[in-house]
Amino acid sequence: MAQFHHAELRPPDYVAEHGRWSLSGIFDWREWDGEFVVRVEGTASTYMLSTLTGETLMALRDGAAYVDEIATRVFEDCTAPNPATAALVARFAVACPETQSLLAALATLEALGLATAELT
Amino acid sequence: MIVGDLGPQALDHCLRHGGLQIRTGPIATNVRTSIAAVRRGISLHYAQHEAEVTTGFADFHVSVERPQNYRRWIDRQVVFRFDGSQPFAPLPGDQGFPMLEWGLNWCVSSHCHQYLIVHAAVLERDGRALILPAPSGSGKSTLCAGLAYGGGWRLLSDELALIEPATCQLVALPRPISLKNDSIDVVQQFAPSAVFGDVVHETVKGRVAHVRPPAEAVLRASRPAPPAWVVLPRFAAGVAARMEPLSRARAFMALVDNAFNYGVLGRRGFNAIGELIDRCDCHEFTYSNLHEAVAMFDRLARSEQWLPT
Repeated sequence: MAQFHHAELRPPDYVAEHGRWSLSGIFDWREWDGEFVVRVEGTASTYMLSTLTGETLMALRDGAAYVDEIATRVFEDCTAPNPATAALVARFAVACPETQSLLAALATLEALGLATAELT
Repeated sequence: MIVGDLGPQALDHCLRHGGLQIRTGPIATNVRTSIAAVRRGISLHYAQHEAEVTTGFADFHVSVERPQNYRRWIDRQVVFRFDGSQPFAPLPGDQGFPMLEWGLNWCVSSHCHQYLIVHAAVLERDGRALILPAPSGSGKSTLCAGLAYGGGWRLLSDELALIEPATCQLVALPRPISLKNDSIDVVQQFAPSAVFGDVVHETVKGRVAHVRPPAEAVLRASRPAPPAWVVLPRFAAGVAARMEPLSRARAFMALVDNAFNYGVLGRRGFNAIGELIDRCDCHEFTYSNLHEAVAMFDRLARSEQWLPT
């Protein structure tokens, strides 16, 4: 297995899970009944986002930066018993489907040019 | 004055010498042609439209003529010219009127960026506009003709929805309804009172005929209408008419996908579609029988809050 000694050499998954997320582009958005549409100013492209991806974008917009913070905001109305539990799930149980979904949502936002992660 | 006020000889003279300006909704177009079939089409389809005999300012100056090169003797063709340029390849000689219509669509969709322009039919009833965005071949124009000629809806446009970005009002552009292939027979049977022009065969779209816009639609062309419904139509052979709710986000994307100048308008386009969607009920509609379809839209218009059955 490859060894990573420097932050910039960390594999992308590690950065996604442990890095600090932030918005990376200007965008306009609308939400109807949990479905989002977003227009990315930098590319002038418009996308429809799933509820999870849209809520993740909103969490980033509201200042959540780390996966556990984002999970707390995104999953607070979901099946997790309380936000603290959701945060724990996000931090420690990487195989948990919710965490994987959240990471996938973040990856989608990154691919669209809306979010970026970096190790601090 | 309207085009119909000109007798055949006066109309021929104006069109030959480039002095006929036809107003379609907010757009004034100076038209020139010496081709009899095109003149006949203008006389039939634009009879109720305001016109002016002038060479003065017009939004577009267009012509449909024979080519000026050797082809005029070898092969009967027609060319469309716009402000002196020739944006399209020539077409066979009997396709002059369809070419004029397609060329006018191109003029509007490529230049009228004061509007958000969507490939959609637009009709109005009781002061509420119905927007039918759809790609070619979806049954949009057939449905539009049925609603305009048999459903009590006012035609605003068969092909281009002009949306005023600041107000989301739908601006009328009543021009001939373009029908293709089997749709021609369907509408002829459904609406015997509809006035058809020449049927033109073997175009790139197959057999094509235009239906004259109802006179009432032309007379009320200066009245915009606020949006109330976005319905995505789809023809599917053999199915019962079915209206199903469509999420607003999906309706939004359908409008984006069918817009001609969404990218040109940038944020204004996004906001305009968002505001429009806020004001609309959105549905998907599948049909195969025009009578069933028109009846279902009648129920839609009568209901405050549409509930599919």
